[in-house]
Amino acid sequence: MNLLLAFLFRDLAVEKSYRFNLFVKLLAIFSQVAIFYFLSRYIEKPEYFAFVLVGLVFSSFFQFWLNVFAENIRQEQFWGTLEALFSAPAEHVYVILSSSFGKFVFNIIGMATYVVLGAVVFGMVFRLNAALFLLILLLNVAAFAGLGLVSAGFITYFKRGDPASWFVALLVDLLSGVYFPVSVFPEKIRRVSEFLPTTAALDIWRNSLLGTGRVGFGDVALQALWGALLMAAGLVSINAAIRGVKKKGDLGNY
Amino acid sequence: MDISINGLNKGFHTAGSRKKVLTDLHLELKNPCIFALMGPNGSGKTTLLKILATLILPDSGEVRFNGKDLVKDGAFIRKIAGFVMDAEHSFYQMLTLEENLKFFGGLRGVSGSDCERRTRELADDFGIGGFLGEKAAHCSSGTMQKAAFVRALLHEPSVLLVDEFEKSLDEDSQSRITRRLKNLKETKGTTALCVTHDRRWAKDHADAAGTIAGGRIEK
Ligand SMILES: Nc1ncnc2c1ncn2[C@@H]1O[C@H](COP(=O)(O)OP(=O)(O)O)[C@@H](O)[C@H]1O
Ligand SMILES: [Mg+2]
Repeated sequence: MNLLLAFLFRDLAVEKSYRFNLFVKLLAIFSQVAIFYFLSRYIEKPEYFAFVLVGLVFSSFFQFWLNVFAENIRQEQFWGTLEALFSAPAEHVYVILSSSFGKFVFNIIGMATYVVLGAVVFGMVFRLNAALFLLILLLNVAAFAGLGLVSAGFITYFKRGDPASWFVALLVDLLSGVYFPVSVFPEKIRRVSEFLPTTAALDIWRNSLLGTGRVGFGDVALQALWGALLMAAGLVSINAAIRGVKKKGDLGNY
Repeated sequence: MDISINGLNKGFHTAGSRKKVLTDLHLELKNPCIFALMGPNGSGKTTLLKILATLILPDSGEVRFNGKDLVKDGAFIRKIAGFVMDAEHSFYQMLTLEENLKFFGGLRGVSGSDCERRTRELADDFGIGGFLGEKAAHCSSGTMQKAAFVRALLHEPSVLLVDEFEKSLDEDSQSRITRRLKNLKETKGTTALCVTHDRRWAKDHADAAGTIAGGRIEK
């Protein structure tokens, strides 16, 4: 708890010193939502707005967890403060996880902004299944943060970003039904798309937020399994990377 | 705090070859003391300190703090130890000294009014009480070195590891900090392992001293 609060207050202080940051981010979200609202009116499909809005929230959530740990470590390497962080008495993995807490709070604010803008300004209707939504959120944090820890391990050891994660983010935006239903794809691509766990995850998000369709036990179990596997992979890789970099002796180097 | 180092080895891979830095190094520190570690540039002083700080893994050998193994109980070692290293760069430049110290205190479980009180007391003692509101980026390197001492002492460690003790410090600051270390040794039993290039300081203030040469410590 101490650790989380320490990081939260630090990030608030850092945000304060770059005063405009949060405001600019909120403005970007506003214009993105507005674009899709008017697009949906232009194509005369009002239901598309709700569809894409949930897609956008999902995509921002996915990218957040995919990148947050690697970005944090990169930042601390650059600032020269990584060794000082790793002098904390907690296990290093806890420190890395906690270090994202401030940004996580900002990300939640961002996600809420999408929803509030959609509902209040643009009159979108939610049919929330809160229990299901919280459950899928939790399972997906495990999965996406697991991927993020793999990426963080890469940057910890090799000192540069892994080439895979931006590609993964692109793939998810393109193939998982963020902007359009995967049913519009030709048969072969659709198969690939339906194979991706993110496609199924986004389906559950839409179901739990918009009340479209039903979610079976199998769908949720699959997300749980996937979450457990990726989180395990993430923990193994970040621990191996930390061990390796301590052997090399250049933990703090940029 | 007992520190015992036995047969410690560390080498680094550089440009395809393997370079040995510490070879079969031994050191026994019993009872609270101030130990002065000397040695020319590149002799492995920082490497040794970082190994003790659990920031570098040794290749082989055994290090124990009060019997606890450094590699197995890394988190414990970090809890009882304080580090003064790389003072100028290891603070958040865009934050004030106070914000920095509050954060690093929090990392170590020292928070709220406890943290404020100790920060204030240590900072005043080292003569940087008036700089707490300054951004780290605007502080002189001497001020940062003193801030690094404050940071390292916030959680009242039983071992203090200090790299480049006198770096950027004027005489008055050196003697204030030395007085503090002696006081901590007497009242709290804190052991301080200080890297220094000042033979005089070692002679006048340290209980024991050693020089790293050929990867070992010679007394
Ligand atoms: N991570 C590293 N990779 C390769 N060589 C290193 C690394 N860290 C230190 N060295 C080398 O080890 C030797 C000892 O370095 P160091 O412990 O910093 O010396 P000192 O602090 O006594 O000046 C130096 O020759 C240095 O170049
Ligand atoms: Mg050195």
